[in-house]
Amino acid sequence: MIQIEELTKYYGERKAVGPLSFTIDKGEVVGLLGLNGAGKTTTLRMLSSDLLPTSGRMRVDGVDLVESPEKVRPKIGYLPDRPPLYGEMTVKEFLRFAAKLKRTKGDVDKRVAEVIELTDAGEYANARIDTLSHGYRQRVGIAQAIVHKPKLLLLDEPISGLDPVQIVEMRALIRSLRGEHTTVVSSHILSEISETCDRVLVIRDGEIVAAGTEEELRERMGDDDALPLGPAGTVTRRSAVRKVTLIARAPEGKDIAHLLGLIKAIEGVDEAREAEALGEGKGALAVAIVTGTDVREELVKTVVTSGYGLLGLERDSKELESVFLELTKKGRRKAPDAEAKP
Amino acid sequence: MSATLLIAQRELKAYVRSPLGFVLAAAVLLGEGIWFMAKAMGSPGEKALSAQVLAETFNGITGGTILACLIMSMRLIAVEQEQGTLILLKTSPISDRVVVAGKFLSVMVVLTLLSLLSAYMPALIFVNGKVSLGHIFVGYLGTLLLGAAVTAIGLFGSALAKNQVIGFIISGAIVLVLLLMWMVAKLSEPPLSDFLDGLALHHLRQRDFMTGVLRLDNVAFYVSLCFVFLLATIKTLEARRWR
Repeated sequence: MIQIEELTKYYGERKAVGPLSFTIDKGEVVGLLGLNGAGKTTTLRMLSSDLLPTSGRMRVDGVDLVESPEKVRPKIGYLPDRPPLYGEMTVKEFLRFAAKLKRTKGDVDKRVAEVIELTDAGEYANARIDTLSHGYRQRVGIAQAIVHKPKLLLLDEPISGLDPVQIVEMRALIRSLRGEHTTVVSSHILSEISETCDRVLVIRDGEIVAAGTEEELRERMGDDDALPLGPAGTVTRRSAVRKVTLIARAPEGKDIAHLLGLIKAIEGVDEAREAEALGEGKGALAVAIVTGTDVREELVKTVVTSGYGLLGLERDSKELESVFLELTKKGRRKAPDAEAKP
Repeated sequence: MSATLLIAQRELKAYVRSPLGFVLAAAVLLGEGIWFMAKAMGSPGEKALSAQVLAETFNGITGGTILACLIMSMRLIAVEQEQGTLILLKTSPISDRVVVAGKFLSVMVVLTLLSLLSAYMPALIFVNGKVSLGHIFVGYLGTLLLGAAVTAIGLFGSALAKNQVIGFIISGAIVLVLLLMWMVAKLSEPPLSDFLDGLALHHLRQRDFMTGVLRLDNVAFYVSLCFVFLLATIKTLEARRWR
């Protein structure tokens, strides 16, 4: 769907992007992950044909974006970091305008009604855009990006500035677009990308420093990095280290010490210690567990068969964050296969 | 509906929905009315030919037109840039030419409506004096051509600037220089003075229209100005894709 070859963008003497080469297949949801100023927005602006590259080639659906932008634009839907909305228009009016501007085929009113329903913006369909909350503006922004049924959807930080409820809803919305569009989502938040994307391209200083699925990135970190020490001074591959928190309710006569004993006895568990069971109420026990392998099934079986009520099993998000931090850290060498599609 | 009309229609709706459109129209019409009563009609007892009164009326209308076109056009692209909506137009399957044409058209529609609303003044002269419909038509043609040229300059200023105030200052400065070109011409010798006088936006060019004289070179001058500044606007938008 997208072929990028040696793409660069300079603002005067300053390099913003490149050289950048990657491909994205039809139907994929790919995350462009990087810190602020890494070149994500510039890359998306070039892909949307808003900005011309200094050098390199971009092809969308086989058509060169620089040579024939007007042929490619109907195939692209773009939500910039700030949704392009006319405040004085109502949601319905604006989407009708955007649909006609983007030469939407078929019945425009019907399509507008469809995208309003899809983005769950029906409640405010007749409200002026300047009266909407940030979350609804973002929904209308996505609606204008998909109203003409583009093959490629570019979303620049779609979750930025949303509250937790809106984040969950926006993730669900992005996931619901899977299959119908090839989607590129940019973000500087790893959890956002890992929740919604099939594959991640990590960008730093305008170059891709890593590419792959979340698991592959973690593996790569394990291969590349200095290996951290495991329990009892043993060397543990970082990629195999998993941190999970188990929350359970203890039956009569059993306590945290008993639970810790059960967990430590499971093969593969390197460490288990008491943690805080925040917000779970009286009687809830929490255990932070470090394992060398994936022992979640065994953990659940052990805890439940021992009479504990399992309340939750969460992977430590800090683990993902550390992968991101390592990948985007200045001075780190470029991953050898970063430019090739894994 | 073509994309040009679609963009023009959206701009027109934006004028109607914001107080700017109404306040501007009211202020311009009020100013033109005061000019008509105080300047064109002359003092009580003072006799003037109705053709002279009509010419002076158009003089006032052209002043209002210049100001209205500058204010209306300053926001056309700069506001889109400020509000982040320009990207919607730039990533849609339409050319920059269509964007500029749509915006230009919207101001011309408002200007035509403003001209129609000011028609009561020439109509009063027509009813009570001796002027021809041709004179009135030529006078308004001159007003619309002048308005079109100022709008094209305003669009150019708006495309150059990142906010509308700067856009107004840029286009206002260009219009002012072109308005005062006849004064510069006076300081120089022929043939340079003739050339500079020919560049003056209002002085000799509008005098012909105001007195009911339709000359092809005057029409060509305003059309050329429109073409040059609209082309410059399109090129400015295209150049933005590089930065």
